Order: sequence, then C-alpha cells, then structure tokens
Amino acid sequence: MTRRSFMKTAAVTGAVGALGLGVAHNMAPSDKAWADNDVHEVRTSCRACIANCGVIATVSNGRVIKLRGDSIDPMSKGRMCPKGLSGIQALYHPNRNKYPMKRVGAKPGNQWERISWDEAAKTVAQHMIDMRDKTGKHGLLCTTGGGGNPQFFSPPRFRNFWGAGNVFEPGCAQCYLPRNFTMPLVNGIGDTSIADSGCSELYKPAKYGGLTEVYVIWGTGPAWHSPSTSGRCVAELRENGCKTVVVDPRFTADASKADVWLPIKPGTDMAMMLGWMHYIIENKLYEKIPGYETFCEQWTNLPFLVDPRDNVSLPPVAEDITKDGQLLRASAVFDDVDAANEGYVYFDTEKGEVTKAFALGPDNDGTYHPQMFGTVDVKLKDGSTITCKTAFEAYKDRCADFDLDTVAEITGCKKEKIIEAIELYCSSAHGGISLGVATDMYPGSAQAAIGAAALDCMTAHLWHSGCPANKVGGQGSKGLTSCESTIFPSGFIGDTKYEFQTNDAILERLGYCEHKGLGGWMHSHIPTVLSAVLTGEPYQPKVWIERSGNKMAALGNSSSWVDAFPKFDLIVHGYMYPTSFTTEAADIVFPVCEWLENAFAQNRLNVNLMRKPVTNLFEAADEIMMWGKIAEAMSDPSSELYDANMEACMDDEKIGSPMVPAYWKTINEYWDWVAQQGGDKSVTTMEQAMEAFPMKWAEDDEYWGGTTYDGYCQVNAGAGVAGKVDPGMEGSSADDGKVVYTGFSTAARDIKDNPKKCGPYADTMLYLGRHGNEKFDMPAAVVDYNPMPYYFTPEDQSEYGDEYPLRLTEGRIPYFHHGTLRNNPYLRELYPAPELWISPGNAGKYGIVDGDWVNIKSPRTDGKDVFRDITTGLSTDTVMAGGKDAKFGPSEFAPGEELTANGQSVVKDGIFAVARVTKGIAEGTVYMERFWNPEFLEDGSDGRKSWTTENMNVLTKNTGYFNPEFGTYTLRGIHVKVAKAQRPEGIWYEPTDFEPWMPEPTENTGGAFYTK
Amino acid sequence: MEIQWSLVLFTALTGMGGCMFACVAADEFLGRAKAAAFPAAVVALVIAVAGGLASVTHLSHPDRIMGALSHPTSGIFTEALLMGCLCVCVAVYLVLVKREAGAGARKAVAVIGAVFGVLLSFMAGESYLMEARPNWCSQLLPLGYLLTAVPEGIAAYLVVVAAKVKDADAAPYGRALLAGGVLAAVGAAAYVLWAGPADGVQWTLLVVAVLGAGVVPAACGALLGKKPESLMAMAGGSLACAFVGAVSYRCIMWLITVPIANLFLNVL
Amino acid sequence: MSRNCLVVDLDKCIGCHACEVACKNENGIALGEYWNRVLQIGPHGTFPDLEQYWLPVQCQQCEDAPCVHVCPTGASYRDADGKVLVDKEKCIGCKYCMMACPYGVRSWNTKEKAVEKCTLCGQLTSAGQEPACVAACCANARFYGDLDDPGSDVSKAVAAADPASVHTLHDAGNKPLTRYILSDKIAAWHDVDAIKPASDAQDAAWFAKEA
Ligand SMILES: Nc1nc2c(c(=O)[nH]1)N[C@H]1C(S)=C(S)[C@@H](COP(=O)(O)OP(=O)(O)OC[C@H]3O[C@@H](n4cnc5c(=O)[nH]c(N)nc54)[C@H](O)[C@@H]3O)O[C@H]1N2
Ligand SMILES: Nc1nc2c(c(=O)[nH]1)N[C@H]1C(S)=C(S)[C@@H](COP(=O)(O)OP(=O)(O)OC[C@H]3O[C@@H](n4cnc5c(=O)[nH]c(N)nc54)[C@H](O)[C@@H]3O)O[C@H]1N2
Ligand code: SF4
Ligand code: SF4
Ligand code: SF4
Ligand code: SF4
Ligand code: SF4
Ligand SMILES: [Mo]
Repeated sequence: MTRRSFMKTAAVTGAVGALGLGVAHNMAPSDKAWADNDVHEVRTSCRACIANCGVIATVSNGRVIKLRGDSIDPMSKGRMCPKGLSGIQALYHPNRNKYPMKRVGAKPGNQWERISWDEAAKTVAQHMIDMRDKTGKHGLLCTTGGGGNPQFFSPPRFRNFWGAGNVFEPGCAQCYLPRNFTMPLVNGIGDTSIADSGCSELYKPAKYGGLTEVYVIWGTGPAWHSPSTSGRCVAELRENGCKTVVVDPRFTADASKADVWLPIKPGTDMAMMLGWMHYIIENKLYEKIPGYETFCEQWTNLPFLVDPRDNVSLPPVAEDITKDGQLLRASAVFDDVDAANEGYVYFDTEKGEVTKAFALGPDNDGTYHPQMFGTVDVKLKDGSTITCKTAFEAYKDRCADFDLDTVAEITGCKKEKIIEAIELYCSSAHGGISLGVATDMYPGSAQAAIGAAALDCMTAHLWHSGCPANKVGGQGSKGLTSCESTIFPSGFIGDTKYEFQTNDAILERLGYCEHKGLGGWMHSHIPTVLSAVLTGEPYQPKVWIERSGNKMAALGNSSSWVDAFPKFDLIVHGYMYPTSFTTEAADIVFPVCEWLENAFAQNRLNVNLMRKPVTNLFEAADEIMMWGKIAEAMSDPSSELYDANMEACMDDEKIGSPMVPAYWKTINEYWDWVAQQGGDKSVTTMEQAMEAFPMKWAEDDEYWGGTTYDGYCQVNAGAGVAGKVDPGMEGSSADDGKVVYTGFSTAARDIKDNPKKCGPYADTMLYLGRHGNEKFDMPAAVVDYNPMPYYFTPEDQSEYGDEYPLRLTEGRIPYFHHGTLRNNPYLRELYPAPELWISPGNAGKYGIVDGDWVNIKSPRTDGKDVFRDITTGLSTDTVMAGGKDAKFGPSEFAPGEELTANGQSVVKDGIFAVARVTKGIAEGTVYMERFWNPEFLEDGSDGRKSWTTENMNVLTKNTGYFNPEFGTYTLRGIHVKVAKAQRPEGIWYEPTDFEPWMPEPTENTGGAFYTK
Repeated sequence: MEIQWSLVLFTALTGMGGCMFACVAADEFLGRAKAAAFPAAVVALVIAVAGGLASVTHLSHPDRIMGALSHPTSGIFTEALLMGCLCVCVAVYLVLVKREAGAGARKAVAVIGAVFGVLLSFMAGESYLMEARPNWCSQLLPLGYLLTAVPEGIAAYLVVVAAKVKDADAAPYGRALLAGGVLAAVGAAAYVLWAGPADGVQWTLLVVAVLGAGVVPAACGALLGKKPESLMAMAGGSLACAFVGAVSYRCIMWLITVPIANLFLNVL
Repeated sequence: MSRNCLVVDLDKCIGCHACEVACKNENGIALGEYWNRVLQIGPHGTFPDLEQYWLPVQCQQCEDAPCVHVCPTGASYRDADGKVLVDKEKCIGCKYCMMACPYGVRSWNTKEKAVEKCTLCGQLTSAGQEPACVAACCANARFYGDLDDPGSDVSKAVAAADPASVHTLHDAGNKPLTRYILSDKIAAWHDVDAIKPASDAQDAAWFAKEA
C-alpha cells in the first residue's frame, strides 16, 4: 500500500510526520505554528506506577504525540500498559496545576489565586519559622505518596534537614515496608515483592539456568499491578513451563492461569501459612525437597535452642499463642562466651551436647549434626538447668492447632486444594513465594512477612535458581552497575558532617518507639500522628507539607482526617492537578510535574534507563524544587526567615556527605545531578544523558552468566548475593581457589559469632523491638515483636461480623495507579465507576443483579467505630505508650475518647459502586478497588463529593489494633454491608462525559527554575 | 437493533409505488380504468421517489451518493438500479400515454416497469439477507417485503381509480385486494414466526402487520363485491391500513434481528 | 494475495487492556468509539473450579468479507495487500457494513459520520513497525502478519499451537482470518455467538465485564 492510498483509506487523523509515524491525537489545534519537520524521539522511562518501563516518546513540534515501549528494557521488553500509555492525556490534562496558588475562599472549597513561586515558598517558610519560635520544630509534618513516587525520600529528607517532625505515607506500614524490612531479617537475602523489588531472578533467561519451576503468587497480582513488567514476566514464566499457585480471594488473570488457585478469605493468610507449616512439618516435607534434603538442618536456625526464661510480652490480640522468646545466647551457657563473641546454641546429636552454633565451611560441615525437634536440658553457666525447645519444635507448637481441616475452615479454601498447593510448592527447590502487598494491609503484616520468608527457608528455596528472593546479575564489562537517582536523607546511609537532628528528635517521632520497623524508612505512625493533631499531645503538628495525589483516597478511614485539617496553621499541597485533598485541606498549592517532565535514573537489570524531561509545561517543576525552594527561603542569614539547618542543607560542603546532595537552585542543576547518577562517569549533564541513555552496560552473557547459585555453600569469596562481597572475604578473587561458604546473614545485632544461617525463627525481630535499629539503644516496645507468625481473628469480624456480614478486600486493576488517573478520559471510559464484586449467592440474598448500583457501609461510616485518642508519649523519659494500663493515659492499647465522630459523620450515607455479580469471588467476600471522582472538582460542583461518593477508603479502619512492629492498620478485609441503590447523582459515567478532560497540548516552557 | 425509519419508509413507499404501477400495467392489459392510468402512474412515481428520498435521509453523506453506483454487488446498488429503471419506465410510460402512443409500446413499457416495481420491493428485502444476521437470513424476509407491498399498491391504485373512474367495476378489484391481503397476512406472519418474535412489542407489531396489511385489505376486498359504491372508502381505508401494516412488518425486522455477535455493543 | 491479520494467544493474554488503549491512542479514536475491545469470558464452572479468559476483539479480516460485499460505494474495500479497509471519504454512512459484520467490530465515527474499524495499523506496518496493539501487548500475546507466509509471526504462533487449540470466531461463511489460541488447560473455548453480556444492564460502559 502506498502512503497516499493509506492516507486516503485508513482512519488516522492528522498528518503523517517525518518519521512516518501516524500522528495520533485528540488534541485541540495548536495556536503556535511549528515547522513541520521537527519530529524526534526521546527514550525515557515511565512512572505511571512503580515499574519504570522503558518508553520512547515521539515529540512533534514540541508536543509529545506518541508513547511506545522501548525494547531495550529487558524487564518490559518494549511493552506498555494502559496507565503508561495514558501519559500524554495526563501530561496535557486541561486541569493541570499551572502555577503556585493560595487559597482565597473558605475550606473546603475551590477558590484560588495565582501567586509566584517566591511568595509561595516564603509563605511556607514564614509559618515554619513562626512554629519553630513558638512551639518548636517538631510541629512539621511531611507526607508523600507510596509506590509510584520516585522521590519517595523527599519528605524524610526535608524533615531530617529541618531537624524534627514527622513523616508518613499511606503505604509504608501498609505497603512494602513490612516485607522490605522483615524478609531480609528472616531469609538473609531480600524481600520477594515482584511489584516493588523486582525479583530479578524471575527475569533471568532460561538459558542462564534461571528457570523458576514453582512459583507461589501470594496476595500479589503481577498481571494487573504492572502488566508490562511483572505481568509480562510471569506470562513468560508460565509459557516456559513454570507451575504456579495463586493465593488470592479474587479470580484474577494470574489465578485463572494457575495450576492451583486458593481463593482465600481475606485476612486469613496467617492461618494458611501456619497450615502449610503444619503440613510440611507433619509430613517431613522439609527433608524431601529434591536435591536439598539437608538444607533445613544445615542452613536454617531451626535447630537453635529457644530460651524458655525469656518472658516475651504477647500481642493483646493473640495472647494464647505459645510463649517462645529469644534464642538462647551462648553467653548464658559457656564461660568463655561474652558480648565480644556472643552466639547461638544447638544440641549436637553426635557429640551429645549443647554446642555453640558456628558458620559452616568446606572443612567443617561434616561436624554439624543438630537436633531438629524436641527439647534439650541445658545446664547454664550459673549452674541452673533449663529445658529448651529447638526453634523448629517451637514452630511445631506454634502451628499445632493449624491442621488443614481447621485451616480450610478458617480460610474458606478446600483442604485437597491446599494440599495440592503445598505439594506443588515443595516439589522443587527452584522457585518460592512472592508475597504481595495484600498482607501488608492487615495488622498481621509483619507476621505474614515472617511466615512467607520462613516457608521459603524451611523448604530450601532460598538462593537456588528460580527463587524470587535471589538478587542476581553480575558486574558488566563496562564496570557500570546499577543506577538510581533516589535522593537520600541525611542519616540514611552514612553520616553527614553537619548534625541536622538529635537523637531526641528521632525518639520524638510519633509512634516510632512502639513501632520500630518504621525506622526502616524514617516514618512515623499514621494513627499516632492523627491523634497528636487532634489532641495536641504529646505535641501539636502545625505545618503540613504534602506531596502526592489524594490522601482522602489513600488513607484508611479517611473521613477521620476532616477534623484534623483545621488544627494546622498551614497545609501545603504539591501535585499536578487539584484533588480532594486540595479542596479539603490545602492553603498553598505548588504545581509539580508529570513523569514526562521529570528526570530519574533507573536501573533495569543490565540496562540503565534515564527518565528525561521530554517537555516541561507552565510553571510546574519537579517536586524536589518545592522542597528546595522552601528550604532556600530560610537559608539567608540576613533574612528574618533564617534557619541554620536550612542554610546547611543548601550547601554540599556543609552537609559533607556524597550520599546527601544539597538542594538545587535551578532545575538544570538538578537534571545534571540526575544524569550523573546514571552509572556512567563520563556523563555529567542531562544534555549528554539525552544521548547516552538508555545504556545497555553489560551483555546478557556477562550479566546473567556471573550469577552463582547455591552460593551460600559453594562459592568462593568473590561473588556473593548481588555481587556483594561478604564481610571478611574482601581481597579474595574468583579464581584463587579459596572456597568459602557465604551462608546467610540473619543474626540479631548482639550476635558476634554469626552462624550464617537463614533465620525462620525471627530472633532478629524480637531483638529489634527491644533495642531498635538506630545508632543508639531505643527503649523497648511495650509488646514484643514475636519471632514466629501467629494468626488472630480480624477485629471487624469479631466485633461487627453479624451486622456487617461481608468481608471487603481490594487489589489493583490495570487502569489506575492508586488515586491517580481518575481524570484520564480513556481510562475512565474503560472503568467509569468502581465495581463491587459479589458472588451470585450473596447478590441473590440482597436482591442485587449484575450492573445494579449498590450502597456500601462499614462500622466507620455508621459511627460505630470512631477513631479515638491514642496519644502516646506521656512518659517523657521514653516517649513510649503508657502500656496496656489505662492509668498512664490513653494509648493505642487503651484508647481514650472518640475524636473524629464529626468527620466520620460526613460519610454516614456510605458509598456507591456498581455490582459485578461474579463467581470469581467467594461467598461472604466482596471486592472493590479505591476510587474517587475528580468530576466533582469541576466548577460549580460540590468538591466534598469527590471523595465521599465512591471512595472505599472511608470504609477502612485506622482504629483498633496496630501490629507492634510497624503499627500497620487495616485497609483490607474489613466488614461491610451492601444494599441495592441508585446511581449517585453528578458522577461522570458515559464515555462522552469525559470529553472535557481530553488533552489540550501546551507549549514547552521549560517549567519553573529553568535556565537556558 | 433500533428501527431505521428512513429505510422503513423507503421500502414501504417504494414497495407501494412499485406495486401500484404493477396495477397500472395490469389494467393496461385488461383494458380497464383507462382514465386512471395516467394519474395513477404519476402518483406511483411520486410515491416511489418520495421513498427514494426517504432512504437518502438515512445517509450521513448523501453528497457522496453517486459513489453508490460503483459497487454492483451491494444491495443498495441493486435497489438504486431498480429504482432508476422503475422511474424511467414510469416516465416513458407517462410520455407514451400523453402522446397516445400505440398500445403495444405502452404495454411493453408498463410490463417492464411493473417487473422492476415488484422486483424493487422484493430486492429491498433481499439486501438484508446477511449471514451476520441469522434471523434475517431467509427468502421469507424479502417475500414478506413484497407481499406486504402488494395490498399497499392495489389500495393506492384503487384510490386513484375511485377518484378518476366514475363507474368502475369494483368486483375484480375487490378480488385482487382480497387476494393481496391474504398473501400479505401469510407473508408477514410466515417470516416473523420463522424469525421468532422475542418480546411483546414484536408480537404486537406482528398483529398490526397481519391486520393492517392483510386482514383489513382482504376484508375490504371481500366487502367490495357487495358494496361497490364504497370503493373510495374501502380503498382509502385499505391503503392506510396496508401502509401501517407494511411499516409494522419492516419495524419488526429491525427489532427482531440478533447478530452473530455485537462485540462493541454498537447501537446502530 | 496475502492474508494479513492479527493472531491472539489467549493462553497468555492477561486482560490488561493495553491493546485497547494503544489502539485508541494510535488512531485518535473518540470516547465511546472502539476499534479493539477486550472482553472477559467467564468465569465459568463451579466455584472454585473456574475457567476464564480474555477475548480481545477487532476486525477479523474476513477472507470473504461481508462488509465489503454489502458496501454500495466501495468505501469498504480490500486493498492490494489483502487487508479489508475503509476509505472514509467514500463512505455514505449507510451502515450496511455494520449490519453485515458478524461480530459488530466496526465503529461509527460520530464526528466524521463515517464507518471505521481496525486498519491493522498500516501506517506503522508500512514503515516496518508493529501495529500499536501488538507492540504494547503486555503478555506478548498478539501477533501480526501474513498467514500465507510461514515465516510470519502469526504463522509461527499458529504452527506452534496444538491444532485443537486454534479457534476462530463463529464462521458464517465469511472466513475470519484472525486465529485465537486457547488450550483446554486454560479454558474451554466459547463460540462467539454464545457470548452474551452477563449484565442485564444494556449499558455500553458496563458491557462484557463478564460474558
Ligand atoms: N484501602 C486501601 N488503601 C491503600 C491501598 C490499598 O490497597 N487499599 N494501597 C496503599 C498503598 S500500597 C500505597 S503505596 C498507598 C499509595 O497512596 P498514595 O501514596 O497517596 O498514592 P499516590 O499519591 O496516588 O501515588 C504516588 C504519587 O507519585 C506520583 N508520581 C509519579 N511520577 C512521579 C515523579 O516523577 N516524581 C514524583 N515526585 N512523584 C511522581 C504520582 O503521581 C502519585 O502522586 O496507598 C495505600 N492505601
Ligand atoms: N494498576 C496499578 N498498579 C500498581 C499500583 C496501583 O495502584 N495500580 N500500585 C503499585 C504499588 S504501590 C504496589 S504496593 C503494588 C501492589 O501490587 P500487588 O502486591 O500485586 O497488590 P494488589 O493487587 O493490591 O494485591 C494483590 C492481590 O491480593 C489479593 N488480596 C486481597 N486481599 C487478600 C488477602 O487477604 N489475602 C491474600 N492472599 N490476597 C489478598 C487481591 O485480590 C490482589 O489480587 O502495585 C503497584 N502497581
Ligand atoms: S507497568 Fe505500566 S504504568 Fe507501570 S511503569 Fe510500566 S508502563 Fe508505566
Ligand atoms: S470482521 Fe467484520 S469488519 Fe472485519 S472483515 Fe469481517 S466483516 Fe468486515
Ligand atoms: S457505511 Fe460506509 S463503509 Fe459501510 S457500507 Fe455504507 S458506505 Fe460502505
Ligand atoms: S492493528 Fe492497529 S488498528 Fe487494529 S486493533 Fe491493533 S492498534 Fe487498533
Ligand atoms: S495487551 Fe495483550 S495481554 Fe493485554 S489485554 Fe491485550 S492481548 Fe491481552
Ligand atoms: Mo504500595
């Protein structure tokens, strides 16, 4: 077909550009006449979710007109998902925030006035200085978005520079941190989240021995959370013969292609895990894993002895669990052991005596004959004798009640299916469990992370080919490695010369002492922050800088925040469009960039990508400039707004750490810095990076060929996990013939003679709760961090199960990322309103047919479960919760009075969704994903309806029990009731309703702080 | 599918016009009602052209209509061709009548025109036979198109006869109307019952079609034998009912169709 | 003549709708109009032993294309390459082709008042690129090429599949070219004329959430 005949026939609107690309657009005509010949491509990377797929953007006459995947990206292989493909509609959305604004009308409301960046930054600075002088620095609150937000560390960075205050993000304790922090402490390698960490092993081409044979997809949905990266990867695994088990209440795409689907009742994963362990122990599967029959004995801490004297405090929700404390320390047994050579002990069956555990090596592994189960009488050095269980025995006791009949009952899965799943899982050591975000959304988050990691330990999956925990990939020939332009906070990696914060300021972080896992990302506990805002105790947060989308759509029990907004002196919102948070809360709005305007260096296996500023619109700037300009406003010693810390944070020399760059004054300087993080030393400017990236820095052979499997027991010192050289082994090279076992590193901090086992018995967690992970010893948490998983009935079930009979859960859909893109015309057309999945049986019971609108309510909308005072920090010595005893004042263990009845009454009518009657969900379970309606922010609408109409996060729970480790609250598995209803008025629903949001192309202005 | 009114009117009117001209041709042979020949042919032409125009309102780009002649396999091409031929024949016939040309020529032209007229009515239905629409896919459908057009045509012709011919012998016309009505009723019912009405609306329309296109004209035809003086009333009543019946039949066709699949849920 | 078409491997397709959005972007398709949609078929069976798959649908490039046959103006035509296309400038909007297409995969362009449908992205393939939906497909489940060329992606995909797993939409004599690969281990194939929107609501936005 000739070009001409095609032009006449095909339905391509617009002209054909110089590259022969069909110019696709739905955009209004430009007012600027461009030369017709400027069509070029920019190779960048997507950030419409956490995956960062490589993208080629076609730019014609200054406008981004087309996006397609970049096949150089070895993870996405040139694929792109609907969210990414909608980047142009997001970029040129007519409702972009175009310049800084200040509120001129009442709250909530939508009356704004344009101001300059300078005025905006100075206004914030003024409020911060006032706060500092009147009530202290700790009144600062910085928040951001979760997965999907590349400058995730911006808020803790700003807070740390400032010196005090709190940080949160709606994910964190509810997303990834529980797995990210806990799993390495158990398996010694890393977490297994295919969404967040990538699980590079799964991407390994089969020809390099990377074939995953069994893959358990547990509470994660690769097909829909990142279709083009992890969805694509898992599709390829299946094609290559990998067998899959899917544990998911929803019949998802991955479930429909699985060998076994376990439609688990939401929030019962811990029971399922304990059931798997019970079956594995009972049937001795741990010693039948093909090829690795002795792994459990040799390489786990399960033979180590548990100290029965340790009086662990048990979580109030599970006070009936076995009371197994820390592992017995060798210093209690042996005279020659003290703090300098502390270790663990086991009972050696050949020697017939209690022995200090040691790291195995090629010379000594024949001498290790640990007793796996049972009890051992141990004579302590003080002369007393105690009876100790082995850690495996403790596990056996912990899961004793979880026979598969019981587990089937609790989880709603069929016993035969559960057995089929376990047998499949144990049929090969090549594979393992990817645990998803689902379990992070329950107060059992840490327990699930321990459980999943412990299962992979017990069943010898770790560090064998195909295991999702593995970190693989050798160094490439060009000497480049990973690249990433995350901007770290002070104190995160290494020290700074200037001391920005004191230990006291760290201890003051709200809820941190109780929930020490939060330290992993330097965050605070969200409910404790809310309580402090509402009560002023232990201190009053006053200035809130929020940089993400719509907190009303992402925070649990979000209406409970309505009463908090008036308590602040100033609330700042940095985002690309107005959201419910803007209308409800913001006083100042900063215009920030879409991903097509941003810069970021991103590693993708053996390729380094560079997100490039493809265009820049209006006065928008990368969010880093928002933080930087506020800091800069306080950096001038001659100004009334001066703060010494803020001066220091503008100055690399003062900071004195290469890991912690100072803020940038122009966007160009920042882009150049990003370019320098790309892994190629010769690239120093973004201009060069434009040409240089993407960069394949190692051939597949070099990259994948360098991986060593079973490295824990075979490798020489040269290469460990992810090419990391094990401490003590530096200096030896790959071919010096010196074979050393690398082992796994999971010992608690006080253990000096690390036996190098993986640690399914999480002594590490117990130790963390008592000491923390700061440079100083923190006060112990009231409730110990239990070393083994446990199950407890979700509070909504025990308290409201009769009245709210359906258990609601959630999970990703391919159209939206968190609260984003609800204003995207093509995506809203695909998914105009949230669906409520409900089984035919339940639907029949409530008189609902497919396509009906339904109303959904939970105890939170009905005034039955109101957020209450959980003020901690009454004990000034420790900044601790007062304990379970109410006389110490309100704490999360003994909440005080109701604080947010007023705010929660805003949503007393419940929310609305379209019923999808489907067999793909069990009786008793319902499913719905987060939603909000930006159409209510259009002129003349009631902005409040944007988050009260279809937003399931007004149903979720930020009250009640929070787990000790992370303070996780309950975003899933809450109880609801549903009834037939009418379509709510004012929502946009028909495809053409979204017409006002079709893109309007805009000139490339360079954005704010751009210097030519 | 939604009722395509333009096409309903197009086929109902061209069918009427075509069959009406067939009546003119018949009388040309039978040698009756000579006074009606000219006006009836004029009316037939007007009705057919009105039908043709109705079809144009169906198009979004009537400006490109000439393109319709470029593709001889399409139903529309056949319809347009037949329509054109019919109009030419009627026009020539009118000229011949005006010029009082020889009977042979008139008969020849009339009979050719009649064939086009009847065929047009049939072929209008025939163009809907598509594999994609299984319950359109029967020769009963075009047969119904033709048969429901017959009483329309006869009744319309009789109206002109009643108006122009003082003492016309009503009896043979009555028999024709009776026969036409019976055929229309059978034709309409045969297709619709074969296709399978799915809901009350379709059943109701079927009753209207059978009564309107069939029973009423047939009854009028039967009555004409006894009451020849009420030719005008009977013809007029039959015409109205037959038209309504023919329209109903065509509406049923649009409503009753179920495509093999409608994967985009197009609303046509 | 070549037999160019798309082939979709439903064993792989993960129902992500990337192909749908890619198609709309590439072709500038208005809201409410489609050249390519992804339908969910199922779940069928008895809980928890369920089957389901996704069926992306667009023009099937029928060998004996009824849409071409009925078109009065030649606006719907077959080009030298064998592709069924629409020349919108010739379209008079009679919609006979929409009636004649057995699958309802033609689209009415409200603004231009003409019929459109999948063009197999000739503007891209003629420049050596893949159709937009094929390039985007997250599961590598979509293929484009000539069934008569054994070296083409489509021929290879079909050849690699068990013949019993190769399906076409219901053939009413129109000989659709598009092949769908679906094996029994994923789900039983449902003939397209048996697929009805599960929803009682005749609502385009809601259509075929499950069929
Ligand atoms: N009920 C319930 N609640 C939930 C969840 C749930 O499943 N159920 N999920 C939880 C989870 S896992 C998370 S992570 C949170 C997320 O909830 P939030 O954190 O509130 O989510 P967003 O703000 O939408 O997402 C992150 C932000 O990053 C932005 N972004 C994109 N590109 C860039 C860039 O280049 N630079 C910068 N700085 N930002 C960019 C996005 O536009 C977006 O604003 O919600 C949590 N809340
Ligand atoms: N499209 C899209 N992609 C995203 C995001 C997004 O918002 N939208 N967010 C990104 C972020 S921040 C994250 S953290 C990842 C998350 O990605 P995933 O870890 O895949 O998370 P989800 O899809 O939320 O949940 C996984 C599955 O858990 C199931 N599930 C729900 N409750 C339970 C339960 O109690 N037990 C078990 N076993 N399963 C349950 C859900 O049905 C769902 O299919 O996705 C990232 N990608
Ligand atoms: S999965 Fe989709 S949204 Fe996420 S980075 Fe890749 S293309 Fe972008
Ligand atoms: S699928 Fe429909 S539009 Fe495509 S060639 Fe066949 S009949 Fe024509
Ligand atoms: S609507 Fe257009 S393309 Fe379709 S048959 Fe009529 S003229 Fe041809
Ligand atoms: S080939 Fe092109 S036009 Fe056809 S469905 Fe794919 S993207 Fe759309
Ligand atoms: S893009 Fe591919 S995997 Fe996704 S729905 Fe379309 S065909 Fe299926
Ligand atoms: Mo997340």
